[in-house]
Amino acid sequence: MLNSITVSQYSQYIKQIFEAEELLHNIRIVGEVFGISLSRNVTYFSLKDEMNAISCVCFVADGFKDIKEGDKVTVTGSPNYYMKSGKLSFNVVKIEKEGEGELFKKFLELKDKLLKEGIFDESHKKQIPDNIKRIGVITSKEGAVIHDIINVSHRRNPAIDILLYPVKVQGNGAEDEIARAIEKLSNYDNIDVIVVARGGGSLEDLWAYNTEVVARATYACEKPIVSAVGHETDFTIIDFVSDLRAPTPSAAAELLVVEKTSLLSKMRRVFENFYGSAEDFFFQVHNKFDLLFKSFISNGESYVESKEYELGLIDASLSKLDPMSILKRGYAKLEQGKKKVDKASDVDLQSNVEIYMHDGKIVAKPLEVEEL
Amino acid sequence: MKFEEAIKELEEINKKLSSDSLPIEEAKKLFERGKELSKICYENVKDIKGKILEIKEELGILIEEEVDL
Repeated sequence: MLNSITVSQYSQYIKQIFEAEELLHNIRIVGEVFGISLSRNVTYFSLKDEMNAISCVCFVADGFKDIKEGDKVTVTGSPNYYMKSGKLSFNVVKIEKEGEGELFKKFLELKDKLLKEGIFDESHKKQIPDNIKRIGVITSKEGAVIHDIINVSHRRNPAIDILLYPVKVQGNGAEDEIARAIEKLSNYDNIDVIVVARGGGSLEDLWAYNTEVVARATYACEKPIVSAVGHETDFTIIDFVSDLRAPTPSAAAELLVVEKTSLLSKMRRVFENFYGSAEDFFFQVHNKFDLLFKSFISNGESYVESKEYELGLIDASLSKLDPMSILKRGYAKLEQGKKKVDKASDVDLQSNVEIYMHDGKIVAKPLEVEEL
Repeated sequence: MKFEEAIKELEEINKKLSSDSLPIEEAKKLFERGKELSKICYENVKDIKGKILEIKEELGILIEEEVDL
């Protein structure tokens, strides 16, 4: 059971999550406005599409001058969690009316036309292969996009080859270059997948990807195509035609090169952990045995030493008792008629005495006894 | 005999060997037994070490091969 936390701790935590999630900061959201209410120069409203709705709040004083209920708009801002009420609102810093611009009208017309032709049909979409080795990238040779794709791909798997087909990504003739590149790579054997990529920009900047010629080339392409145009919130016609839409160019590389390397590094990690614990286990076992073995040897040695010491003591005391050792120090033993004589007064002056030294016996005649 | 059992017995032998009143005959038997147990332990340790090196070598090569695809 987890510890309890207070409402404030919970709120603080939720707020921090939204603040830390930079992908959600300063984004553009398209939707329809409804439920506008104004209170002290702050406008509250909801933004919805066919399925869902979000709460928005706008602090810009006259941001809502021309906006009315049901208008389709693009709002720019970031999510904000209000801790006092526990509500998540989208904090709008800019609001633009859509659906009226010339380009947007063209975009919708082309989208409708192609939709009716069946060019967006899911059934026509090709499967993105699993084991990708070479990726053909159609984008500008300048700018961050190609570098991002190379970096992300190679970080995930250094063996991936990236083939760049350089094109103009905006301005006059860009759409023709892009369409021709798609046609060329469509027939180029040595790649597994094509990525059509471009960094973020305005509707005008991204226009080449909203053209019929690019849409048709994409549809006709024999190879699987991933579109990665603009930011996550930008949708272009090619995104509807392509076999897979990646939210950004880096994300395209991540989608295509993810599984194999992550599996490999996972395997490597598991193996290294396994090897590490095997080694730890070995050192433990080894140490335990090593210590025990050393103490066995030293116990054995000290046992032997103690026995040798005891033996030495016994030996020393034994040699003190040995009569020979006394004789060796210059003393002598006296006998008379095979009998031990240990008193001078016991000596019989009439018979010989035998004096035992350590190396022999002297037979002598006693002359006189002087008692001390 | 298991490594753990050998270690346990070796520990017991150690305890006996450090007591003062151990008769020589007993000590001789314990030295002999300790030698056998040490051998068992050492074989086990060597075996583990060898297995670890084997794993490292085999899997290491496998992984390197995969990466160098």
